[in-house]
Formats: sequence, C-alpha cells, structure tokens
Amino acid sequence: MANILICDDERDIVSALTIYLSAEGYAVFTAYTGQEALELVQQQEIHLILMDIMMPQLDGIAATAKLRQSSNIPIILLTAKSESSDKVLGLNVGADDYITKPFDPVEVIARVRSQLRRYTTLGGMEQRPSRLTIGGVALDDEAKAVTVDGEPVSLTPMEYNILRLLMQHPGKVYSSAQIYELVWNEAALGSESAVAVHIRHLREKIEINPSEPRYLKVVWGLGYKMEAPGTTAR
Amino acid sequence: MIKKLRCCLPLKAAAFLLTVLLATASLGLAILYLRCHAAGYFDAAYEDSSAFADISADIAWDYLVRGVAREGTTVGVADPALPGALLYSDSAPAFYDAYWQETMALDQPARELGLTPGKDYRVTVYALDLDAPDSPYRGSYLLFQLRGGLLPAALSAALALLGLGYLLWAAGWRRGRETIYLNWQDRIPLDLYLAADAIAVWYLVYYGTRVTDFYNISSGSPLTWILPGLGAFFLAIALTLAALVTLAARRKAGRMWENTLCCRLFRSVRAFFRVLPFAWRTALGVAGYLAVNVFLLFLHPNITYFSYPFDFWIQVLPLAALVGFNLLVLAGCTFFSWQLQQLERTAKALAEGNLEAKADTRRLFFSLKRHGEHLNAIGDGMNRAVEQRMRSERLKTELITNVSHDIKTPLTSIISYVDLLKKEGLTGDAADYLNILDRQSQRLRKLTEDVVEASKASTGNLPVDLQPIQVREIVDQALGDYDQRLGDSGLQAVVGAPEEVLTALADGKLLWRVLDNLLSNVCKYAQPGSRVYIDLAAGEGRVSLAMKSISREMLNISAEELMERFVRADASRHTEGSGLGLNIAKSLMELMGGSLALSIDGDLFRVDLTLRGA
Repeated sequence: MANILICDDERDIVSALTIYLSAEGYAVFTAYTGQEALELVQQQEIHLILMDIMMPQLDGIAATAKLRQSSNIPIILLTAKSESSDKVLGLNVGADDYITKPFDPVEVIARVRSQLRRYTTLGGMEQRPSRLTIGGVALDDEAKAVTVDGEPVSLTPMEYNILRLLMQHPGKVYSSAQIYELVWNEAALGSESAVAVHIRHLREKIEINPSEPRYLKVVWGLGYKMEAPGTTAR
Repeated sequence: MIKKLRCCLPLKAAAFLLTVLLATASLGLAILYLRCHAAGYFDAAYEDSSAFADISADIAWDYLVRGVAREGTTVGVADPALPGALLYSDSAPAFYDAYWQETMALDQPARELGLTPGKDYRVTVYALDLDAPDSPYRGSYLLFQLRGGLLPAALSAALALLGLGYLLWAAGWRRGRETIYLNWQDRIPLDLYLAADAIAVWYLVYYGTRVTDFYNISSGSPLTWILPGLGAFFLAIALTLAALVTLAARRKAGRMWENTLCCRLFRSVRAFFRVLPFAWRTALGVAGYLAVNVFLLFLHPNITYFSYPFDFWIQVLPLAALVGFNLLVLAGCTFFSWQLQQLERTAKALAEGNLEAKADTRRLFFSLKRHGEHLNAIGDGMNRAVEQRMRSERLKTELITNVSHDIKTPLTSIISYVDLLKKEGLTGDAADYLNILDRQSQRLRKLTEDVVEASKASTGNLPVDLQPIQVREIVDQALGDYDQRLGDSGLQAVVGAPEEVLTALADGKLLWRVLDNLLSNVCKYAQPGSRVYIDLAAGEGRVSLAMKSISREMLNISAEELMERFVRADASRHTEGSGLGLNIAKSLMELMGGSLALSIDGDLFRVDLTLRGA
C-alpha cells in the first residue's frame, strides 16, 4: 500500500489522521514541521503528503513550493484559513487539493484515495478519441461508462448526457435552458428547473464534497461548467 | 562701532541741527541765487556814465540812455549851462538789465521842469555807491557778493542729504535696547502728527516765501527778511526732518498703521461691529448704505440745472461718486452671495456624505469665514469619527477571523476524536452522550464559520464582483441544490416569474449564499406540507425577489429582532444554526447595492430581496 506523510504541528490532529489512514491500510509517516517533512521525503518513498499551512519553521506553502522543485507527488493542504485567496495561493504553489479545518475525516480519506488513484493508476492511461477526461473524471462514450479517479460511477441516462455535454466543452458555461434544450432535445418552457436537480445529483456522484465541487462547477446565476481544479483562479 | 554710531544721542542731535542748518543754507543760497538771477540784478557792467537827450519836444519828452547801467545806476538830467544841478533824477532804471537802450518818458512836461524845448541838455547817468554806509542797497549788495552761484547751494544740499541719510539710518535705535525704541514723538498718533506738521510747515513756508519776496530782498535792510525768512525756513525744514525721522523709526518698528487715530477709530468700530449680532450688523450696514446714498444725492447741487460755465467737479463728481458707490456695494453684495454659495455647496457635499468637502476659507470674509471654518471643523470631526469607526470595525473583523482560526484547530481534533469514539462502538448512555458531543461540535463548527462571514459581510471586507445575473437561473440552481432538503422537510417550492428574462446586477457567489441562508431557514422553520412561494418581479430599474413561507412555530418576535445577530425564532435554541443567517444575508445584499426586508404577518414569513437591474 501507499506511504502517506502527515505534516502538522498539532500532534493530536496528526495522531487522529494516523489512526484513520492506518485503518485504511496506508503506511503513515509523521512530521511536525515543514523542515522535517522535506527531510522525510528525502529518506522515504512517499506517495502522498497531507500538509498543514501554518507551521513553525517553513510553513506548508513554502514546503510545497520546495517539494515541487523535485517531485510531483500529490500534496493536499490542510488549513484553518478558508478564504478563497488562500486556496488559490496553495493551488498555484503546486498543491493538488485543499481541505479546510475543521474537516470531516471521511472527506479526508476520500480525497486521499482520489489523489492516490490518480497518481498511481491514471498516469499511463491510454487515450482513445471516444474518451473524454477532465482531471480525475473520465467518460468513455463507447462503453457509456464514467469513472472518477478510476472508480466506476453509475449515472442515469440524463445525468450521463449532461456530463457528456459539459465535458465536451470544458470551461464553457451552459445555462439550464441550454442544457435542457441540448440534452432533452426540446424547447425549455419553464421546465429547466429540472436541470438543476439533475446537476445536483450528478455532483453528489462525481464530487467528494458536492458543496465544494472540484469538477462540476456552478456559475451562480449563469449556468454550469466542467473544469479541472485550479484552472480558474477564483 | 556701527552700533555706537547709531545709538549716540548727542551725535544724532548735532547731526539733526547741522542737517537743518545745511538745508536752510542751501535753500537760502538757492533762493538768493535764483531771485537775483531772475531779476538780472547786479549783472550789468558799468561802462559809460553819460548819455544824451534830445529835449526838443514841447511836451513830454523822451530821453535816451544809451549804454550800460550797473550797480544801482541812477539817471539824472542836468543843464549843461548849470553843471552839477540836476534838473531831474530818477532812480528806478537802475535795476534794468544790462546793455539796455531804452527810451524813458519823463512823467512831467519839460516845461514844468523848467527845461526849454529845443535846447540841448546833457543827461548824466549817475552811479550809486552801493558800498556807502548810508546806501539803502548796501544789504542787497553784501548778499550779492555772497551768492557765489549754485555750487555752494548744491554742496550744502548734498551734505544735508548725507545728514538725512544718517538720521534715517539711526532712527529708532537707542543705547541698551535690542529692538527699535519709540520716543515720545514716535508715540504721537501718526496721522495727528503729520497733519499738525503739514499745517505748520505749510504756514512757515508761506511766511518764508513772502518775507523773502524779491521786493523785500531788494529793498530795505537785510534784517527785515534774513532773520524771519531764514528762521521760518529753518523751522519748516526742522519739522519736516523730524517727521521723516519719526516715520523711519515707526516703519522700522512696523507700527506705522497701528499708532494712528484712524486705526484706533477703525478698530473700535470694527470691535463694535464684531460684538454686534449678525442681524444687527446687517441692519446697521444697510442703514449706513442708505445714509451714504442720501448724502451723495444731496451733495449734488441740482441735477437738472447745469450752470454755466460747466463745472466738472461740481456737476459730475457727485454723480460719479453716487454711481461708483452703488456699483461698489453691488459688487460687494455679489461677492457676499458668491461666498454664501460656496458655503452652501460645501454644506451640501457634507450632508451628502462627502466628508472630504472643504470650504476655501481664504476667500471668505467676516462671519462667513468663521462659518466656513466651523463647517470644515464639522467635516474633520466627522471624518475622524468615520475613520476611527472603520478602523475599529476592521480590527474587530481581524480579531474575529484570528480567534476563529485559533478555535478551528482544537475543533478539528474534537470532531476527529468524536468520530473515532463513535467507531469504538459505545453502547447505552455513552452512545447518546457521544451523539450530543457530535451534534454540538458540528454546531460549533458552523458557528465559527458564520461569525467570520457575518463580520466580514457587515464591514464590507469581502471582494464583490458585480455582474449581470439571470435571477431565474440562480433561483433554479438554488432550488436544484435544495431539492433534497426541501423534499425532506415536506415543502414544495413554487416559483412565479414574468415571461421576460430578469437580469440583476449581483455577485453570483454572494447571491447564492443569501439564497442558501434563506432556503436553509425555510427548511428549518417552515411548516411541513406547506408551500414556499418565490416570486420574481422587475420595476423601476430594480429586480425584486419575494420568498414567502408559513412558519412552523408561532412567531412572537418582531422582524427587526429577527434581523439582529444571534437571534433565532426559537428562543430555546434547540435547532442547529448560529442565528446569523439573516444578518449575513442582509449584509451581503447591502454589499451588492441591494436590500433585504423581513415582514411577519401572523404565520406568514416573508423576505423581500431587491437588486439593481442590469
């Protein structure tokens, strides 16, 4: 199984996360400062790092920047700061994901698993023209199958069609009415509110935290779009 | 050395006396020279003492003096047969210019003088001996010998100027004093001093010029004019010099204007005006204006009657003064109104919230200046208060954010370990207690987030990106997100919207948070099985959204109270939530330039959102 490095100056949080991740079968290494984390990465083969931002001696942002000079192992930042500017800074420096404290342990595990799967299995995935991928989400139009981080997800036909439409044009914003007309193939006469419900269900299936979607983003008041994380800095 | 020179009193007194003497001498010499010269007095050269007259006429006859008369020459007519006996003598011609050739008329017929017409007489020109002790011309002659031309006059004038320079330079300095010292004469009110001085000087000059009149100089004893004349000039010059010196001293002390009767009068009038209330001042001002107008009107002799010869000063001047005065007052009134307008503009800007607005008090006068200064002080005070308030709000937000960050770290541990405990499979009461711990730690988590958001939203510490937003779309999106929860609460959402697309100016993320908070409230507090109505409308450049629901509990609380922070509809606080939702929503709406209003009618709970249309 994978080796995970947990780095936080708060020992109780480190030990709690150790318990969770050990229970999942991961080998856990711990560090309490950014400096320690950098040393451990040199000594051990680490597959994923969970890193706090506010730490004494070399904070999480600086440590991430240093690590990114030599390696591309997944880094998930943990922090009590929830401002979007902090998230953007973390992602720009090279972090792969971002979890704000206080976190739900289940969500942490899900994100760890997602990042690891992408890191270990998706790297050499063959590319076929019928295959659409955005980040960890892959849609195979021949098999009518969708996988998130390699895990198959079962979608209803309508959900599948909406996802395909959005994935065909990553970053493009579709309004509810447009989605309705393109997916249902009929004029939207006040029935586009159904689209929002479908999208919500779709988000619950492909996102770890539907309220903070990584891929299927809500552009409030305008529509929806599919996008890889960190492509829009806002 | 220099200090000594300018402080030495005896030196100054001597210089004063000397300067006056030199100036007087210069003046006297100049007068003498100019007088003598203008009259051509004494300038002729005496060459011939005889002339011939042809007395042939029966009546008045002429005699001719050919040649030159000089130095008080007198002319006499003598009979050649009677040598030495003057038939007639005349002294007047003596003062005519040189090289004259003049026909003189005897004022008596020759016959009356005992001259025989046709007979030859010899006319003798007699020269007077001016040096003779009994000569009436002796004084003039002596003076004439003194005149010496303009050079001595110029020389003494130059010396006098030197003395004047020294006196002006040294004026006001006194031994043992660092600053300008004003002596008794410097302390006399200047205008009084100058007026008295001018009158005295004028009289003395008048007297002096009369005494040293040509006729007085040329005849009689020098004593009749030298002493009084030069004395008058001496005094006049002394007074003038004293005035110049005191002017210099006053100027050096910078007190030319202060020490005048005019200044005192002006100041006391001004002080009187200052004490007067503004209304009284205005009344007095208008009264004064009318009085001056009436005076100027009466000053004019008769507007309809133009006397001949046309006298400019009497006819036109009063009229010009009247018109000029009124134009001046008009300009003053305009300027006054302009100042008022400036003040009004500033006050208006202040009232509209532009605290940077300032009245330019440099261009304001009298009460208006003070008024402007007060306005500026109000603006400054308000500015300070606002700044202080902003700073304290910012500090508050920072404090809340920091505290919340600090709370989040232990809270993470608590939530994690509560979750781990749950996995231990506790049974009985322990499991119930653990559930309570779980629920309360989740509440605490929500609370820490809401407190930060509420503080940021109320202080405007959030980035706001206003863009045209389709209101219908965002309502659908929000309802799509809440589909599950509304269904769980047994609620049905009904959206009423007009045909056209409603576009509002808003920040999508913030508007979503508003709708999120409102829908979350509805799910928590609405009567299960009821409907939630969301009505959209547009009008007057605004887009409005009304959300109506039926409360589950009786609402014995006012809408105002509900809007307060930490107030919730259920006083027992059993349900989850921080009580900040509505407050945050309201702040966010205001940040976007919109508004949020609550109304409660029985169990009907209604929220009205308005946004600017795009």
